[in-house]
Amino acid sequence: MSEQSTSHRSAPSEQLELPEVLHCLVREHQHFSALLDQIEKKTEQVSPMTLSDYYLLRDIVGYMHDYPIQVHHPTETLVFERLQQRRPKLSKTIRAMFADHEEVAAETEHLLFLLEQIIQKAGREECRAVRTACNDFARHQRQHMQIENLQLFPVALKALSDEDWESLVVEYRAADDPLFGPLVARRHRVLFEYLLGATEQVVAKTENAGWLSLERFSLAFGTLQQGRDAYFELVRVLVEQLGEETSAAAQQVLKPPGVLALMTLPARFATGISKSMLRGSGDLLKISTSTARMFLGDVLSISRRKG
Amino acid sequence: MLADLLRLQLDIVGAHSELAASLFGENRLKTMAPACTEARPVITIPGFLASGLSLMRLNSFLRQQGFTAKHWGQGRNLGPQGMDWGHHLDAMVRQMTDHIDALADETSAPVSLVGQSLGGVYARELALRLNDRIDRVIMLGAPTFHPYKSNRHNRLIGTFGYWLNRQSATEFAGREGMLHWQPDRPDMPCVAIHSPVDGVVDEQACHIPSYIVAASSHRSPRENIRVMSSHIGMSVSPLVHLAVADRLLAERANWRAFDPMTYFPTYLRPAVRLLFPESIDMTHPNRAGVFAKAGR
Repeated sequence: MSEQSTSHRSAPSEQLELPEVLHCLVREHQHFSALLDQIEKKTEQVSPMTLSDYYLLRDIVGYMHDYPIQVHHPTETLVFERLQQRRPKLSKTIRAMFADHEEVAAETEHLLFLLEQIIQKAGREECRAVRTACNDFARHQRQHMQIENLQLFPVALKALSDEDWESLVVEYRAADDPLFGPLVARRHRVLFEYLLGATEQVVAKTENAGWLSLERFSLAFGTLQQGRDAYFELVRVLVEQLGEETSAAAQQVLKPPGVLALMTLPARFATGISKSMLRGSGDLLKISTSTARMFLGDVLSISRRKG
Repeated sequence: MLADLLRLQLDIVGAHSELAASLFGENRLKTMAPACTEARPVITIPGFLASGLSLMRLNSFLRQQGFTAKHWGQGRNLGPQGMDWGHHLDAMVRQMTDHIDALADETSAPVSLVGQSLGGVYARELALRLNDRIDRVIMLGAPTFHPYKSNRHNRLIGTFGYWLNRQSATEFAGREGMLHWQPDRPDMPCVAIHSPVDGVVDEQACHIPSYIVAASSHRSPRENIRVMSSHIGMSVSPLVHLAVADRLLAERANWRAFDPMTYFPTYLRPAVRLLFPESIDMTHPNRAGVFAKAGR
């Protein structure tokens, strides 16, 4: 699939009677939201993140770094500048939005840096930092889009005339979306095929899969398999943690740092082990219940379909 | 793991029945399958842990049909054995170039590559690097490796592969993964033959995504053929042999999708439909709309 040429972004759908520019912006927000879902899905998973997860996050954040800076935000800037002319009272909000664009870009760049770093070398602290940064990123992006969708776009729709929108169409930077557009750019192909798989699952859940269909069965089976994988991965991590704690305690016995430390060692060791076990049991319970819930969801939707 | 062990055992049973079918139906297949009237050199590449012997029946069938079929001449396929995939492929290209050139010189025609499983992956990657020497590529149950899309490959084989190659599939494929070709590059036909009852690799990973098939041109067609066959038995399955011979003889300038019905009498059509199930369609007409639906 060749790198796409710059051409007009896809035409708006006939169902929505929004001006073309606004329609594109709203649809791009929907795409970003779908990608943020994927980020949140990964950061919310109980089992530890793997190299594959970091590759996925890196590709999503990479797209959300490039496309908004090159196309989405410049288009919004054009719309908001025109809106500022028509509604000077909104100047403060619009200036805040512009500042937020800068902030979002800096935050995205930082997250990209963290992800590149963790792909090279993953430590426990770095994993935690990436999870936090991803959650902050997703929250900030959603807040930002919500203000635009609920406050600025509706006002722009009312305040801007047809001539305004037409002149904006001429002005705005016409470029196809390299991931969701008609041609997928080579650098986004891996992410596109992943999303295609995720979409198939959504489609199978909502539209295609009939009662006792192969897709439906594989969906439910896949849920169980994911749960089982997460379960084993967590057990593996737990065993690793216990091993680390035991070896640390053994080292302290062999080379005691002091009498007091040696005397309190059994109590500290027991506390550490208990904490890990408790935390692990909680996580295992969470995995079991969420797997059962998702599996039941699949089964119930089978029953509904059957009915 | 137990489920995967069962999958593997069923696959082996399936392979044996395909071998039996191949032995009993040899003469029938020979008369049914298309024969080659001009020089058509073919190199077959075995799957992971298999040697050229595993493709003996396929080669002998192809020779019977008039092709000049040879195995890859590299002995047992042990994979990269801990080597970086890029370096491993470079070494493979160096080793295979002379073999391919010699066969092309002997027959004065470009060579077609037929690879099973990991051999199919090699065929795909070799053709990318040696595209001026290769006519077309046919892959039998050859998977792709996506850096983060999970596939249901047989984990027993995966574990063994990890033990032998000292790297996981993600490490092996890197952050770019090893995916199917683009629709327009390289400029040659590529056929993926895969099975819904494959007990070793996930069929989805062997399937050329429909958006690529749809975007491919007449100059570089991409095609999926779905056939009921075990993974191990693909090299001996008469159905796969028929499809391979047909695709090797398909005209590049006038590429038409494989139609198994043309080889069977009308009364057998329902059975043929079962043996060659319709290809799974992964393309959604409005993917942007679906993505939006997937979002909040």
